[in-house]
Amino acid sequence: MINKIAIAFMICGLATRGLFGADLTNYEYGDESKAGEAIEKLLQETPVNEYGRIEKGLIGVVTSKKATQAGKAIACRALQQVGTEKCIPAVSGLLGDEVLSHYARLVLERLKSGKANQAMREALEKAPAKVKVGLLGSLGECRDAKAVPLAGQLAQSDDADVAAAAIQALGKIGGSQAAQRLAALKPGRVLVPVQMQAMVACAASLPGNEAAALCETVLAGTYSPSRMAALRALASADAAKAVPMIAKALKGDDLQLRMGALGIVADTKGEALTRAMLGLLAALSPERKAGLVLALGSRGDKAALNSVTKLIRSGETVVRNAAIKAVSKLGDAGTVRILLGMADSPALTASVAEAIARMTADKVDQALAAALEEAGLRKAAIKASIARGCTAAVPGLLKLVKAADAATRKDAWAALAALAGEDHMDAIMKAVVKTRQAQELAYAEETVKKVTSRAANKGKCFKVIANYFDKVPDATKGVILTLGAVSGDADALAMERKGLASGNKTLYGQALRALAAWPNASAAADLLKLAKGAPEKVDRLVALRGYIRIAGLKTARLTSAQRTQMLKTAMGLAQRTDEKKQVISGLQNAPTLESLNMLKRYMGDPALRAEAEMAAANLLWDLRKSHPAEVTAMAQELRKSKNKTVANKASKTISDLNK
Amino acid sequence: METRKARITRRGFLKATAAAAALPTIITSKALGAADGTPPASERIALGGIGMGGQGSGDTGQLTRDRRVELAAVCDVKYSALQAWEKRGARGYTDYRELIARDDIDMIMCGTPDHWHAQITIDAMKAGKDVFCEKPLSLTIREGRKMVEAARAYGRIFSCGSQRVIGDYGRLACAARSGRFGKILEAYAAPGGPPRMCYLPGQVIPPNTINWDLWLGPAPWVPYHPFRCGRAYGLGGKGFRTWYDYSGGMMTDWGGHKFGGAMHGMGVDHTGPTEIIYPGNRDCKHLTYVFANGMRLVVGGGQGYKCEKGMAKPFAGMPVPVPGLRWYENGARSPHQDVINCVVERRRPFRDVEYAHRVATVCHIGNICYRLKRDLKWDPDKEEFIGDAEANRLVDRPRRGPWQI
Repeated sequence: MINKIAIAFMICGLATRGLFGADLTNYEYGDESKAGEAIEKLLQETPVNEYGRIEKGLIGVVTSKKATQAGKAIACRALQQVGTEKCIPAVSGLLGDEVLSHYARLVLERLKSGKANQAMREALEKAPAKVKVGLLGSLGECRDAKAVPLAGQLAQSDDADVAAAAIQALGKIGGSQAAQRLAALKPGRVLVPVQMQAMVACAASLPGNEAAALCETVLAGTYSPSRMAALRALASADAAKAVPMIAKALKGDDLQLRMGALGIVADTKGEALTRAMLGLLAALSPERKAGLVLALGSRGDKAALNSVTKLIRSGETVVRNAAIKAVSKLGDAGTVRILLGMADSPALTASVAEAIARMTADKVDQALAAALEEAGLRKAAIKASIARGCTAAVPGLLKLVKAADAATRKDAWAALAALAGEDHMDAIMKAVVKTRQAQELAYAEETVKKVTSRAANKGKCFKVIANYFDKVPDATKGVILTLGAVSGDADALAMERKGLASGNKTLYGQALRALAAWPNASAAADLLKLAKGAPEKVDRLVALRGYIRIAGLKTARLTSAQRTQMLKTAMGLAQRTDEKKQVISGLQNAPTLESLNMLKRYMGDPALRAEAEMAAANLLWDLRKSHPAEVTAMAQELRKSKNKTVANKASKTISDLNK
Repeated sequence: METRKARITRRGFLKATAAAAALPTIITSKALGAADGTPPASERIALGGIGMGGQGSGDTGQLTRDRRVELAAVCDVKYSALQAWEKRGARGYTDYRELIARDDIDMIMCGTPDHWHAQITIDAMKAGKDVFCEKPLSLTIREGRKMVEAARAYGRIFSCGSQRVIGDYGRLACAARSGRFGKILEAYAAPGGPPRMCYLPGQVIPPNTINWDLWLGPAPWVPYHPFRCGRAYGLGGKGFRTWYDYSGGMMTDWGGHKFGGAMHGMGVDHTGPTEIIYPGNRDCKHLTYVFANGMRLVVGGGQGYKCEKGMAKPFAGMPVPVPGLRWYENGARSPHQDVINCVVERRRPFRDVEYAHRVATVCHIGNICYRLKRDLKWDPDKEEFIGDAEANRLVDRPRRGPWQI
């Protein structure tokens, strides 16, 4: 009677809200009633203070003798969200069922309630073995201290699955009582690893001395994974006791334990352990020493810095590399100078640069910049600055490009090329102006090119460079003219015109080539003029190719009609097949009827037929909606092409037009 | 085929584990190194692949491409997934407990559906194995923390998957952290939607296809339907990623990449947000995470960072990585190479379990926020919602039967 009232309440209550019209009691998976979805929606839309009504209805389903397994399961899922201690008696009734016991635990375990735990303990005594395993898991998860006696008994069960679950539960519940039970257990061989794992877990819940005792028991065993975990737990519980055992493990033959000990050195705090480990270094083989050095680096205790830094000079490569890595973690700004001072070979210089690049301490950049001023440290400092991407070094490097030593000047230019930004361009150009030696000028030019190419505002950067045009030798002027194409703005164009008019054949050629590589259409008129009237044939050809290139340039912001017109003009000037093919290729980016007609004409020229067919086939798709008749005629002709790609494109266009 | 059909009992598993305990842990092989530089077997990492579907096979292929790794065994509850690998000499299992009980396996690759990740990897770590686990790391927040605890307690190397945190998004992170664009204010990432409950009808299991009880594992028992365990990608209802019991949906699947990338760049992948704002609340159009340092992670738009001087963009000459930004070490270019290096060198990988857990947690919190449809407050140290018992119930899910972590 009570169940019927509850269900009626739910159906009635929910239906009136227009959200639920199905009977969850009779629900089966895949049911068209979609009761599950309806409940979910209801939970999402109901304010928390109205959950009580839903809980009451769900309790009705859970306790109904007629309700299906699926209906009860869905009710439990909903109770996981809205359930309170009121639902415990109802849900507990499902704990003995092999399938629904888990659904009941979805509610009870997450309630975090003493009453829920009590219900699970009570069910544990009567439940079948398979269900007991799950219940023990939940009681362990809830850390229910009252379950210790029962779990302790079940830990001695003849059923290995139940015993294992009980042992695990004792470990999770933790506390002195659970520890005593675990330590007193004499499980069969198959359960020893489970017992060891549980003891390690339990140790985390105990005060220092009790935890240490439990860990020592595990360490006295033979199961390596648990011994390693016990060593770690011991280090947390009683560092003084752990130190000699860690040292023993590092010298010992148990690989797992040794690796575990290194992990402990890396992770746990305490100066005593650092000191003990430093004392141990000398007694270890190079490989083991390297491992310990890396662990000391990860540990981050500055007390190890001096000893570890000295190992950078080790004759053993493995130790030296480990020391460099460790110092990059332990070191501070003051360490930079020490590291740079050690870089007395190419290999060591590279290692030092790598270490400094990785350093995360404050003021490392400033220390590196300061080191540039010391002759003995300079070479290594430049390498480290590049590796670290240290822009703070740029002012110092700008001074070094004027150094007396040629090798230093070369290194400084290379570093500037890697590190300087557009804000440094003026200072760079001042240095370029004073550079005369040809080889060095090449380094300087490379620097200017690289800095300009990565500038966010290339126009602004080029303006700075252009200011120096009249002050630099002709060789450098040529570089500036080449860089004009990187900028592409009006000032750059004006400068290129200056280069064309300079009367210097080399500068003329560089200006022409810069225009041919121009990034926008502003150079088109100049190029056309040169294509028609440049004195040298080769220059006319370069200009024409540049002009055709711009006509097809997607970033040139030209209309299709403008492109077509430019290409038509270019075709009029083109004498060689190569340029004609370039024009034809450009026409496929200019979708106009005129382009199509031009291509039709070139299809009659055997030397141009293949390119013209392909370009026309590419144009068909773009023009099919604006000029269907012309496109159809061309497509039908192209469908006969020997080139399969062309024929397929034509067929695809015809199919689309016929839709 | 004998092992495939054999049904392991927990008792059998425990027996095998105990046997393993009595043997030395170093691989003892008679094989010598090859002239092509392949190290001798005694120095190779013996790998066990668990979950050999599409992603698991891909990961196994990536890991074994390294000559330091040798595939020793594979495991899948779908019988067909094993055949190709068995032909290549790997021994096949349907129950992962048999595989991890093997003393000669050093490392496992876990490529199963999400609901198995925690159970398999924790069991493996307790048995002394290192782990490469596909993302998303976990099914619940609590599971992820337990994976971290197990890795630390047992001193194991644990790397989660996601080649994209550095691969696709790393240069973006470098730009944002370069200082050129000023301080990071907001990051944007849009992984995809949450999972939903599955109400598919039960069907008869075709013979010799799957061990359904093992496929379900810690998840609630429900009748078999091919779409529950299907491999179809996305939330279309034909693959496991659609369903709440087995996956966190696209939110966790892509979140591993996208939130992983964003949190790496923001430098908050060691912690978590303090507030989560539901879409539409407090002038936030999208789900928004607020971190203690004031940075925001907005679930929307293309992957990117809004900084004081505008959106961060990679620029020529930008150091990769920028100083102070975590990265693969020793020349590794993928999480697979990185984990192998780390197993050899015994150090934590770039996608160490703690970082992966923090990223997965952000995904799970997002799913919880979508489910409860309200703003939430989160304590990233205690890893619990503040003043919200209902949300805290969703931090974990009780596991079925013998599956406890």
